[in-house]
Amino acid sequence: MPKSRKKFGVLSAAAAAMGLAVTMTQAYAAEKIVFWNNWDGSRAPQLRSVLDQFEKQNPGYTVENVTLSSDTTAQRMLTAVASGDVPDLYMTQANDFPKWAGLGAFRPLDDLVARDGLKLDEIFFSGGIEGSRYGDKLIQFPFKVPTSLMIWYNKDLFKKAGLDPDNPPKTWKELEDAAIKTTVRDGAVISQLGLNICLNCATGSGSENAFIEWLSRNGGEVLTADAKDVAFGSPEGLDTLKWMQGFSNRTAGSWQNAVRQFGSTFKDQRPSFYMGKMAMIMDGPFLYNIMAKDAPQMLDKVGVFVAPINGDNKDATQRYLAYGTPGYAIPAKAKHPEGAWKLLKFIAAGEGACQFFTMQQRVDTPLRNCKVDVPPQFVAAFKANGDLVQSRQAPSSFQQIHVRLQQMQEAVLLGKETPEAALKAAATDVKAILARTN
Amino acid sequence: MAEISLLRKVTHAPRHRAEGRSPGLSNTTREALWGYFFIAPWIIGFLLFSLGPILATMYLSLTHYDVVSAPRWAGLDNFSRMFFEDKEYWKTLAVTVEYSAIRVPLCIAVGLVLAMLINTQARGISIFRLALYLPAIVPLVAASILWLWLLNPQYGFINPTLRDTFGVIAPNWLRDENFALLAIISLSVWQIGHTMMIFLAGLQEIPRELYEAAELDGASAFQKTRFVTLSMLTPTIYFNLIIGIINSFQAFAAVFILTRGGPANETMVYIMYLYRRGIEYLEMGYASTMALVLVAIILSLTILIMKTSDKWVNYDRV
Repeated sequence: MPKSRKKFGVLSAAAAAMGLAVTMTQAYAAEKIVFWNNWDGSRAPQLRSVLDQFEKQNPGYTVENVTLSSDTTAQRMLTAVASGDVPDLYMTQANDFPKWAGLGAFRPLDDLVARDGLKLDEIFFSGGIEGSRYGDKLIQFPFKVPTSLMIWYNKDLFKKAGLDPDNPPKTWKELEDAAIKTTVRDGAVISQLGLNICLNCATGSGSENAFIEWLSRNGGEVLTADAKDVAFGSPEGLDTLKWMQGFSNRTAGSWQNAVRQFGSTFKDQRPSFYMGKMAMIMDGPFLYNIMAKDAPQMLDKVGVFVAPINGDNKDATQRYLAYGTPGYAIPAKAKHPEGAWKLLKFIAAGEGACQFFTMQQRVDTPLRNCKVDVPPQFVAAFKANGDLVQSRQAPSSFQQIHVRLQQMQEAVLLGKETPEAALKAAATDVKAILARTN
Repeated sequence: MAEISLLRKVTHAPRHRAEGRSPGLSNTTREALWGYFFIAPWIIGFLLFSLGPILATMYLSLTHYDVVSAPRWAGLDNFSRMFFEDKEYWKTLAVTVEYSAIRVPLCIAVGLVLAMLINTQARGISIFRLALYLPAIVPLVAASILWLWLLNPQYGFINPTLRDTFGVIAPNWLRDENFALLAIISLSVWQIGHTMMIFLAGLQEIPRELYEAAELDGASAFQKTRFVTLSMLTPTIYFNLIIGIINSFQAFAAVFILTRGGPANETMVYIMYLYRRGIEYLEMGYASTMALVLVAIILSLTILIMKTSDKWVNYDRV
């Protein structure tokens, strides 16, 4: 065989082998699913370990876990949607969800649920899954149930003030009485605060909304059932605002006085509570996990109860109105929708979801069959808190309405407007927002 | 035969080709072409990243645009809503003007005083210069987080110190409507280093002879400062004034991190509100309108200052 022909043969075989290798690599190359979420800090490695399990069970996929800061998520998602370069799976926040869902930025999941025969009622609590619908479509799977704020209290300070630590307040009056008794104040100087009922009330802080919390327990509604008109400009709305103002004035001298010395955000208030300078604190059920890490010595001293109702209103019941639910959704232009769906089922509805909750000892799981161990003294209150959530249809402009309600309650608590004037102005503005965005 | 024709071509080739030049181009044109070639990357960058967005902003300001759907023509709706219906917009503008009106003169005054203090040849002065300049190189985000901690009412440095040392109950700076804006301005003054260094450079440019002449004329220290230092520094003040106003109207990062515009919208500066409308509410058309009006405001103020500069800026030295 001539030398050149032999050389040609060797080269051809090598090329064929390389071609085969490339083809095989392509055929078996794992598909990369990009997952954007806000699980930062210690939760990032915890999530990674869950994702590793997904990859193990689904060798055809790898997951790129992108942790976003909650401060910058909005602009990241906006840029992604505008450019079409979206992630495959996206973590929504409660106020964020109706906005994107209303614009059709996410892929509805109904066909996939039907195709795979998922029985959502058996998997999720109804509050979480109902809040994940927009219009008549299922847009996401909830990653947690929408949670109402609870009231955590220091049993030692209750005892010291002559209150029964095993019988926490059930009505607004009892709550105010407890707050007055546990506040130690010399004029404007507060050395111990009973309770700041308006957590994250200042505009620009957080997605919590104290007015909605208290209005829920006064028999009021924020919007009409079709979410097209205002309902908070009602006698219940006015009562709620007046009570919030009166409570703050009677306990701390003024809301501003309490804020000046103890702050009004989660981060501001928690250290004071841990140090025994606040008798009660409005916070979520998730405070249990946070306290277990930051101030474990407190766990034996604290109790928790669901926020009380207005005992003077015979129609008031224990409930919390949730507008939007936090969840995981597949963007409409996701490059790997099938992989994203597989991951979504694993991380939100499957074993990965429960594992992530048990790992964090979080009690706000939306899964029916996921048991998270918490100390027995908290179980009843957590269960009661979970049961009182009622999902409501949220308009796409809910974020704007939330901010307007924050401004309203802040104006009243700072004494800038009367409750009547503030309520009227806010109702007018929210009507305008709804008219513009519907 | 082929060699002969090639030879003929070479020998009859025009001189410009033999000299490696293009036919019919003068030296000036050639130089210009090379110039354009070299600045082409900048021009392309400008067209793509500056002019393009500016034109897009102009167009989007006349539309309702939510980023997901195509823009819908709105004519002057956004302008009319902004000027006649949106009370928050006017509040925002008022806060921005207040912020600028306090911040700009304060930064110029403090920057000038600090520059004068460090404009000596004393031993170890470079350490003071470094210490005063250092905050300016701290990234704004990091500085804001530091401020967040310093100003915390419970575990920050300032309030517990005031309370434990002097028995003073200080305000919750960032959550108090009367102090939040001042707290943000104080961060800005802390980062005064760049302004200070520009003043220092200006001070060092002033000829010594002017002070000697003033001394011979019997001028007091105050008179020397007033008639020599300040007079000769007016171009520097002019520069810092314009830059300060532009920066003030574009303030965002510190507000975003420290207060998000609260409490009671008392720190809702222009760009923060623009961000809220555009990014949080997805009203990108409205945000574009706000951006255009901001450009107009800054441009008007700059032109106003430039027009009046003849009356107070001393260019004798130049």
